[in-house]
Amino acid sequence: MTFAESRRNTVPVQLPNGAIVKFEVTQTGREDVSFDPKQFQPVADAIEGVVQMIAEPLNKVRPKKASVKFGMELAIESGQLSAVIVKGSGKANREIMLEWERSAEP
Amino acid sequence: MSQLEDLLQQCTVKVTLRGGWGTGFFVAPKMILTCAHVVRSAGDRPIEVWWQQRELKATVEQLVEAHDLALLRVTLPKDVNPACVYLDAEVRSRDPLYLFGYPDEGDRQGEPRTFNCDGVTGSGGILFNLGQVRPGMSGSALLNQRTGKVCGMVKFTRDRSIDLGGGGISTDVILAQFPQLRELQQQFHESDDRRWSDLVAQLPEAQGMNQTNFGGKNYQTQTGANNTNYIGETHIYNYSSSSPDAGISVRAIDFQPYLESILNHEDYREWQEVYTSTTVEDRKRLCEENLAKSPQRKFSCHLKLRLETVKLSELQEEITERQEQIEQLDVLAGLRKYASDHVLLIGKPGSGKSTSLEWLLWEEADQVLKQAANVKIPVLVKLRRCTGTIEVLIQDFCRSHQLPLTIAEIETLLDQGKLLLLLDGLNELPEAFRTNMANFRDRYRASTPMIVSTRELSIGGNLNIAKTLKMLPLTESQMREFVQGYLRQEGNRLFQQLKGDRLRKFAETPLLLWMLCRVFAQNDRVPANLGLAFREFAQLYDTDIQQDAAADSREQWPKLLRHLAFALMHDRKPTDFRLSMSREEAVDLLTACLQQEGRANARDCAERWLKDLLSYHLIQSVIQPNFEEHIEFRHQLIQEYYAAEYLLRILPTLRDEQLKRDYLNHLKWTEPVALMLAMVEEEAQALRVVKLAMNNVDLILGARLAGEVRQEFQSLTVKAILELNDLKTIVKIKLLELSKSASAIPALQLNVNHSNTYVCQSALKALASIYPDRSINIFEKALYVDDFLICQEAVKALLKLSSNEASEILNRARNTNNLNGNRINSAIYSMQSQGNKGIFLDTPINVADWYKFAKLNEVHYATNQIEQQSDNSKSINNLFRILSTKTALSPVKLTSMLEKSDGSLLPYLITLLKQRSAVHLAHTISVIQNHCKYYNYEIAHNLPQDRIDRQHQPIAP
Repeated sequence: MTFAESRRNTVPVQLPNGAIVKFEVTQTGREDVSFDPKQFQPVADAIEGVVQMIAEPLNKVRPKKASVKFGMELAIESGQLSAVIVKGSGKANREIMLEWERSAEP
Repeated sequence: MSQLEDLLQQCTVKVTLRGGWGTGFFVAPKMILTCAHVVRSAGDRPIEVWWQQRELKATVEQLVEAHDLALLRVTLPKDVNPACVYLDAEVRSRDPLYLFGYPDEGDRQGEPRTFNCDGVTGSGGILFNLGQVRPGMSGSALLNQRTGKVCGMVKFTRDRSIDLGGGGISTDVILAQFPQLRELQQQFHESDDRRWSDLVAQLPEAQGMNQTNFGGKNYQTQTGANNTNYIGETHIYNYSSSSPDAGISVRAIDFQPYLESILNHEDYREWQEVYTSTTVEDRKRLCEENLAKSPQRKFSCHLKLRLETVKLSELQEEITERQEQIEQLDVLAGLRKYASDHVLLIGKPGSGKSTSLEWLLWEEADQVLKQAANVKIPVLVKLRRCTGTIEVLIQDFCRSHQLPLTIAEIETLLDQGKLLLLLDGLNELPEAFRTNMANFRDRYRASTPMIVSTRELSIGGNLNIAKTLKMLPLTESQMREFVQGYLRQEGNRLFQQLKGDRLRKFAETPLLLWMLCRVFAQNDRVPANLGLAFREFAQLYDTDIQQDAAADSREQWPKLLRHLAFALMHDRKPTDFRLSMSREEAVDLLTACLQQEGRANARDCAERWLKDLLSYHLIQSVIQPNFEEHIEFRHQLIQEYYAAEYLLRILPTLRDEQLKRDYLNHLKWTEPVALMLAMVEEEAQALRVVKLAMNNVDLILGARLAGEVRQEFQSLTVKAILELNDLKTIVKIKLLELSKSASAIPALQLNVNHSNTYVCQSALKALASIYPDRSINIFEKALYVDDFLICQEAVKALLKLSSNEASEILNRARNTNNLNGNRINSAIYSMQSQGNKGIFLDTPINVADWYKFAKLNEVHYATNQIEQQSDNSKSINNLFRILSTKTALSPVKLTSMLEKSDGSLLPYLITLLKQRSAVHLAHTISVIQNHCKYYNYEIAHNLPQDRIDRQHQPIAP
């Protein structure tokens, strides 16, 4: 995309506890246009999946210390909120930092 | 154009539920269309709909997830009359589109958008660009500003934040999914509210367009093209042509074996015999055979069944009712007359619908064979057998008559309009195939004529077929003919017994009359009511006719049949019933009930007895298209009778609540309950059922049942009707009429002198339908009442009686030479012109006399009557002479009528034009001159001037 700055939208998202929060999303695209608050659950599921995926090799290798940082954007895809993993923290509007530290051997 | 935009806004609603919303729009007076994804989470809960800042309640009527369509039914308060959009599938690329919707940002009262149309996608969606589609706009109507009609509905955006546009569902898809909308739309825009169609007519684009083209697909041009394709093709046996649309080439189909097979088939053979038996001898021989050999012979071979056409808009004001035209026809003539269109044939159970269709099948097949050219090939389809598509049923029928066809070939034949479809028993069509049937009808609406038969007021709907033919009950003379044909000398004796009360009920349908004849032939007396008639008929079957069946099995028959019938009355949904069940299920059922009796080897017995039943009794087996063997009763009435017997036995154990919920409230149980009531011997039970029906279920049902109980209980049930609270007299009279009970007569007779004209009128009408011979002096008195409506109703009643006594009374009254004498004449005249010739008149009717005395509003009525007669030039002339003295009559109406009159009126009209400067007559004069082909009557007929003057002197008022 050649725009100087990508278009930003806010969409209302309903959290599991019922509260409505507006999230900034970068990308929308084709979606059905009835108006209803989006659910956050798909994003939460995505984060959980990503973390598990990263944690698996670490658990195998068992380094003394490890940290992983990744950026994430939110997008609307087919009418659902979804997570997009992006490179570089400058672009991302959510940063997730994971740290592992091996507890001392007994 | 902006007017159309305003109108579109008035059709638009905001559909809200739980924090979210979408848009929707009215497509019919109580129907809103929107996207399925807007209302998906609603389920059965009511949905809030906002229209012009008012809150309305709606429920989801139909949801088509596959196409993202939802149809909502909305309850409208009395003062809310929203407009409806005009649907039309016409759309092409670069059409300007306009919508009005409720986006999530911006004006809360809705915002407009405009787009440029991209065109139509492969699967029938619409795409559009150059406009921003925001969330909340789902379900907005897309107005095509070129055609002025709505070509689709918004579904998605390409990007919510910029003007990339979006996509929608096209009207084509909408109408294919909800075919009922076509009819509703047509009704609305052609008659209810012409605002939208008027605005469309003003558009430049619309000037050359076909206004009647509802429903998008250009049916008319399409069929036009088809017709031109096949005009000139007269050879029907051997044609081969390729359909340009389908691209399937059709092999030459030889219909000859098929037609011959129909003509020789034993089920329809009988028509041949009727058709060819010209001598009395032949007929007698047939009758003997009938009695002796084939007990299942069809019953109506001696009957000329009749029917009448009915307009569906029967619910009009009382005043317009008398202008409704009813045409009575012989059944085949009637069906033929309208066969080019789609016709609905309605009749009571057993009134001869199926028989008529079979007869038509035979005669049409015969015609095709004889004439060969341009007659459509008849195909009879029993809808109760439906297990898939209608095409498969057609295929089955053709195959059974030696004409194997592929589905593609059948589709082509249907497209080309080569077939005449006779669809029997729409009410018996399994629920699951209803939409299928509606779509089928819609698909071949333009090309293939169809005649569909269904029960009166029954489940299954009417497919929105506007042309309706109704089977008429038999007249007394028809009954006599039939009874005598069946029993000959004995027939007279039966007819004597039938005279009076009991006759009417039985006479209603040929099936019942046939049954009665058989019962009589056996027992020598007439049963007391319908339920007992069935019982005697069934017993007759059990004991005498099937004598060769094993005795132990015969004893079990009634019980087994009761169980079968009762089980068939239930289906998966509580409102449905079945007409057949698989043989295994029947065996299981019978085994279970025999086991309950503690009988050993129950399954053996069940199997054996079921086999006996099938070969000797009132049930038969049918092979379903999937080769499963099903059993069914030979007629739905017989099934209902046995269900009634079952119900009779469990009635005392049923609690009130259960009786209401499971039986009275279901339409399927109405006939069985009515039959059962006739057999209930306990007064308290009978009264309990009637009262429950009347007070807690439905007034009309209650009234009907009140007349179904045994004669001796009817005074009580009628009393229950009269004791109903909070009902206007006129409603009570209607209920009494519906009860058809002799006990209602005294109460009705009391109301004949009521101060309100309409009450009197409806009381007379009711009396005319319940044993009218008992109220003959009431009718006579009414003839002399100074009120046109009452007098007319009495005339109708007497004409309906068509007895000598009635004739005498009418003749006496019309010759008294008072105001009513003329009114009576006019009423008889209008009834007779509608084909009601049941009376002997001693002097001919002189209609003109009547106008001399008539009041102005009656003259209006008379002019309408004459207008419909059209060519009665004598009465037009007479009428004109009187009317010219009654200035209040609309000159426009008058002149349009006069245009039909002959030249003898010309001299007078010209005088009138000169003297009264009645300019509107100038046009009339030239029209008359045009069709007479001369200018001057005197010259043409060579008449002296003074005679003409005398002939056309206006009569002093």
